Amino acid sequence: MPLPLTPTCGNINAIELLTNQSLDSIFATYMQTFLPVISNNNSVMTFTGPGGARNINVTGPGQTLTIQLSGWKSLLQEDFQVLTERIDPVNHVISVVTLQGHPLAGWRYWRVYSIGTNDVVIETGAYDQPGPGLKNYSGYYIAKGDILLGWQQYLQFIQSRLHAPQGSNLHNTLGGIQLQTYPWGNPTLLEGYWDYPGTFTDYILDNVCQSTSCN
Amino acid sequence: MRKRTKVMVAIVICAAAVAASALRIYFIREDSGGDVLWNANEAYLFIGVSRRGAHVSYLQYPWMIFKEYVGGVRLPDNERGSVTVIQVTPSGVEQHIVEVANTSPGSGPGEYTPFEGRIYANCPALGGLCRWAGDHFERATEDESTRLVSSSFPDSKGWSNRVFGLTSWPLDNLGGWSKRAIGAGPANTFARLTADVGGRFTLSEKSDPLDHTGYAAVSIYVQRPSQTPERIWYLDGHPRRVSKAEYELTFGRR
Repeated sequence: MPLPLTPTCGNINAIELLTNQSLDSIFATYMQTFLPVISNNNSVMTFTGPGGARNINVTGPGQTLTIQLSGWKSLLQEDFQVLTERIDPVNHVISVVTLQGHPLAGWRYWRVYSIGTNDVVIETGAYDQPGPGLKNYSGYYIAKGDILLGWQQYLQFIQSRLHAPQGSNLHNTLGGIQLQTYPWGNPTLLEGYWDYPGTFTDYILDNVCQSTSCN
Repeated sequence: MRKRTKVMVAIVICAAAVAASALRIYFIREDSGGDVLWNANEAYLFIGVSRRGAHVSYLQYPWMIFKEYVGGVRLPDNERGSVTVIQVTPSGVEQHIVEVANTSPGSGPGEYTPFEGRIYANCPALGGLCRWAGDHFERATEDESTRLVSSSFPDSKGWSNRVFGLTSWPLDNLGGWSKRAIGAGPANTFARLTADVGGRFTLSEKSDPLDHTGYAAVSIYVQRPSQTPERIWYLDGHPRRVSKAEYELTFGRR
């Protein structure tokens, strides 16, 4: 069935936390391990490592992670997978590319960085489009809010474990880029921002692969 | 007569629509996961269990099914958390269940770390570093916190990257202690663990696949030399429809 123009869009969740924990520690403890999305830590999704390993240790490109969505039907939903693309312990960035079978086709990154003394930002962003087929195409619109909720929980998990209050510098801006104000109102960056105008496309892709064109 | 039939049909349809919007279907799933820590003498299992529930009207149900089909997730309406702590020694098994009042992400205990013969953890509900005190978690002292943060353990990958002196990484014979993730489910996609505790007993996880679902019940056994395996934990948490009564029993009256 021919489908209308395939949408390609970015989305970002971010949180500013006031903590004296180092970027290295946050990166190693919560991001390389994907702790916020393993076991029962997230009500939207569960990640496992190769062979169903529950301890994830992302150390380099080419590692496969499996994602399971949490459903209510008795029949299990299909798993889907991503492949690590950029693991940068210096800049504290992890990025992945979706593999065939994933309902989305594109990239996602996770990053932690400092914006001041004891003031860090943790963010995750994606640049993607629906996977092939009508099912993924309709799911892109129907399920898009669920994706942001899952990543909101990811950030809240880290906030909770760091016992860190939120900072107040992420109002309508991220990485020096102004957020677009939509007529229907903007949720907070923690809840997730959809980059319909494409203002953050280069920013997201730079985090994914340090280029404005990723493979 | 014809008009009367039409009216009757309309009434039946209206009644069915009202019933479909008023009557609800209840679902529960139980997700679990935690850590097992062991040395040559004993083992501790810390297994978090999240009971999540959703209830929808019969009118909403087809939409929920369709949304899941296209990759969506309906968030739970109700949630209840607990941590089951099991201490296994060569002579016995002791089990405690600790309720987790706050079910927001990351609120339960985690990052279990052995130190000076005790198990420490990150307990957001207690405001920070805590330790297992035999039948409950209690806040660690400032002195303990200082010692843990400044401790110099044998070099281990990730050990130097600690938050509050704790680690979420697996451990291999670090100061005599090892640690692995355990008890995750209900999806039957997980690698299962076997741990030898100083040659005194073995802990093993097993999956019992649930027919036609892709899910599995998780069991944990203790195997002592010359004895039959003893099951010390079991959870069939696969998503399932339950009665309103069972739902209310789990989450309280809605």
